[in-house]
Amino acid sequence: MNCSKVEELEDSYLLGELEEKEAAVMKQHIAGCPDCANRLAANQEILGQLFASVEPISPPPRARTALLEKISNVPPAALLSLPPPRRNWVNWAMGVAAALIIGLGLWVFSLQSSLNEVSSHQLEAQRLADYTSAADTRVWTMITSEQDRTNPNAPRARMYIRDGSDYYYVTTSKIPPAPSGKNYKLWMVRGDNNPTNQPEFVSNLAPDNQGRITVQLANPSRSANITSCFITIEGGEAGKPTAPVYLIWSQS
Amino acid sequence: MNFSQESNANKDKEVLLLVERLQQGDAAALAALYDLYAGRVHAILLRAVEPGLAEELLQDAFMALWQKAGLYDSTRGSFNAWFFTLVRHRLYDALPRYQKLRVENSLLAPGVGEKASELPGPEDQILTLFRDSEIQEALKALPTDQREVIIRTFFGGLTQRELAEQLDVPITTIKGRSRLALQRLRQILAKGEFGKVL
Repeated sequence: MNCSKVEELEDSYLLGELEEKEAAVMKQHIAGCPDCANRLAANQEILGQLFASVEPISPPPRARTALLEKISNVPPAALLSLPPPRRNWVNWAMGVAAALIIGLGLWVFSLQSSLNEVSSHQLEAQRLADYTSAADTRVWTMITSEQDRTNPNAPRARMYIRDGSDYYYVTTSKIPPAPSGKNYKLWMVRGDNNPTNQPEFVSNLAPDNQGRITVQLANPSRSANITSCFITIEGGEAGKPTAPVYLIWSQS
Repeated sequence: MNFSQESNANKDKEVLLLVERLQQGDAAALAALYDLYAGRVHAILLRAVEPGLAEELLQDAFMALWQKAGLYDSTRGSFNAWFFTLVRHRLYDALPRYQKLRVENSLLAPGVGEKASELPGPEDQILTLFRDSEIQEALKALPTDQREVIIRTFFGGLTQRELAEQLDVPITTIKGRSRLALQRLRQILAKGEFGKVL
């Protein structure tokens, strides 16, 4: 990479939008080229100063309200910046075994495992962003209680599901670690061909140290007709929920 | 460190803490950053598009911040520069989809008793975008062709390629003018030629 190319890619590099390999090459060039390093640093300083000097013009208050309403249905950067792929065969196997045992025919797998097959997890993050922000994607937000609906610091889970798609996503934020010997379990009640309204086991969920979970789940029926989804904290591997509901979304 | 520099340093720290919280998915941090930056982003957008579209693009810019904050790397530059670049690129991407207003159309019409011929040129009027007189003076000190590149590509929603096509000059010319303009601004502001240490 030469200095001219570095100049051309400057914005993309700053924005973090270059492919990993290209960003590494550029970083290496900058580290060994004082001209480029100085130019980049100085340009950013000037641009930062110009931006800081702009005379503000207040937007209408409704713009702020609309933005905060919108983001309540869109996963934040924390969920889109997926961690590097790592294998988690125990969770994967438990999920598949549980699904087979109760005969759901629902193929469940951990997104982290599936990411091993993806060359760049940034592409997967983009895919998640595209899916969750699509106009026809339905979003079911699971909350602990009605009082916490507007509390941005309360635990929350969201199911993003689209009619006709053979997969969907579940994300969480601010979920504390499960008590020792227990697991978070996700359940759903489907609206299709389900006269008994019995909840189906979907997946075990294991939050990271910041309470985040992102899982991609297969949806062979390609239907988004769900009447309820919820999370419980269970001590065993029962095929039906036995503990009180922790987070829930329900059509009613 | 004088009072002004100390105050700026404290503000930078506050912004970085908010960005860290945003990177953890904290919606309250986004609201706080919105309160700090929305006015400036809105002002820039109003120079490029009509008010309704500016409001829409404003939300788009902060939605992008919500989703892309994890890409910000403080070792590569300041948050100010990163977010300004993000806003500019959202504008570049969005403008082809919208009815773009020419910069001249967004300028004030002559008032009573004024003659259009006595009004300052479009580039000079756009300098009112900036509240710091030092920045205004530094921009005015640039040669006209260099100032035009800065104003129209950084604050007018035009990419360097689009401006080259409008002016019917090679893109290398625009790149050269931009490079020289930034270099000159850096020299002027660093020297405090207009009486202020930035």
